[in-house]
Amino acid sequence: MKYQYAIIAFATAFLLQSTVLNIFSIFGYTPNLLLCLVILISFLYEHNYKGITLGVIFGLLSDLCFGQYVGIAAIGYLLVGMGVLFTKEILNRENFGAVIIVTGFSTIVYNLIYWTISRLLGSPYTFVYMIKGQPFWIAFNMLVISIAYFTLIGKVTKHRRDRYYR
Amino acid sequence: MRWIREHKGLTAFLSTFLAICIILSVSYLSAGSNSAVGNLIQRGTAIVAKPLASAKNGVTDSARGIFRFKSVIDENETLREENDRLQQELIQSVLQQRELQELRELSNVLNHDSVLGIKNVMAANIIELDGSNWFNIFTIDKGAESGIEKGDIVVDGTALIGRIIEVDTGSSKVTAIIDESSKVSFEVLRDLSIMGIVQGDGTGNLSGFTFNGDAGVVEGDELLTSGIGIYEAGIIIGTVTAVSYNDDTQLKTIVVEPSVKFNSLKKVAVIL
Repeated sequence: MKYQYAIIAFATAFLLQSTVLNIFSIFGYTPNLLLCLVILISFLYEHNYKGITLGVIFGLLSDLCFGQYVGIAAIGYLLVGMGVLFTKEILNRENFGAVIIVTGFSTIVYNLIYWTISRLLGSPYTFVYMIKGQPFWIAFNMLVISIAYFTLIGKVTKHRRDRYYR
Repeated sequence: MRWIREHKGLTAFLSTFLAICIILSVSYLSAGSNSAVGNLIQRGTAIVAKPLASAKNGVTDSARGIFRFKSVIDENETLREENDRLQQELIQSVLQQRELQELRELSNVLNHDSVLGIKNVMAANIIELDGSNWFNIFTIDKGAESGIEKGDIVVDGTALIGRIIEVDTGSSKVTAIIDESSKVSFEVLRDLSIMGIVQGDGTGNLSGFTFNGDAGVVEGDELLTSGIGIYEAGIIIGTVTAVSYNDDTQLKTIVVEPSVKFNSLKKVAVIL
């Protein structure tokens, strides 16, 4: 993925996250679009640090705008992105199931990192509060990743039903 | 140097990690103070978010209107009747206003100090909602230039929304009472001697306890701010939906549904 496309994708995700996305929230939970982009770009593209680099930058911006402390989301995206880069060495990235598993684990890891650092810095959010939201966050992120995955696959292989691809 | 050249990826990762840790430490140590970079970005996003927020509200309202046209017609009818009634009330109000003005003039002549702390209220639009899924923080389109200060109380009509936690030029951040970090001291409207504390429970409701374990708080009781702490007295918080007795703490615990519908909030009022 070219840098300019990646930047546009991250900027759009950043703006949507804080404005329009809240319309579609269920019990106050919404997908984490920036995390989805970090996972998707790191997992699907060859030798790609763009997802992590932009994840860190937009994570810092997101913390500056909404967070109590600057850097928590950035650390989360950095560690999750690195984890995904290592994971794609052992998993088949063309397998949709692998993408879904990576998304689920990454979401849990990201939220654990976010909660742990927030807690260490004196945040009152309990472990139960963090755990309660996991099913929603995982389901939402899986949904977003699935849509993005099939959109990208559709662009790469125009005629997937063709016998050549079977 | 050779090691760095041989491990470029690892070096980049470690230096980025270290840099973010330094930023995090600085941010933690200077918590609460407005950083210049943060304010600049906040101002930039506010410029983009304002038209987006109005567009979003427009789309939501239009979509709602299409799917609920029958109820919109009924609502329209009810509003017409209400409008007629309000116009009558307005005429009465104008007459009373004239009378009040006369009494105020009389009060000034007599050098009388009012017992009511009459305060200014500033209306503001919500332009950004917290996108992190963690905090119940939102941004409004009024800031320091409108006289808003950190700690000012934010209400929706007469019900409590939260307080200002950060002020910038053109925008301010508000933390809602449903945030887990917010604690509100309350009294029960039916019996003002029953007092306690509630805070966000992470599900959009409030939970808390009464100071007295024998307090006669019941489901359906309306709660007001007690005036202890940062919120001034007499602002509606919400309605008690569940009451139970905790044997361990010997306190009556309650669950409260806030009077404000936080999901559909578009406009707020800041008490200056």
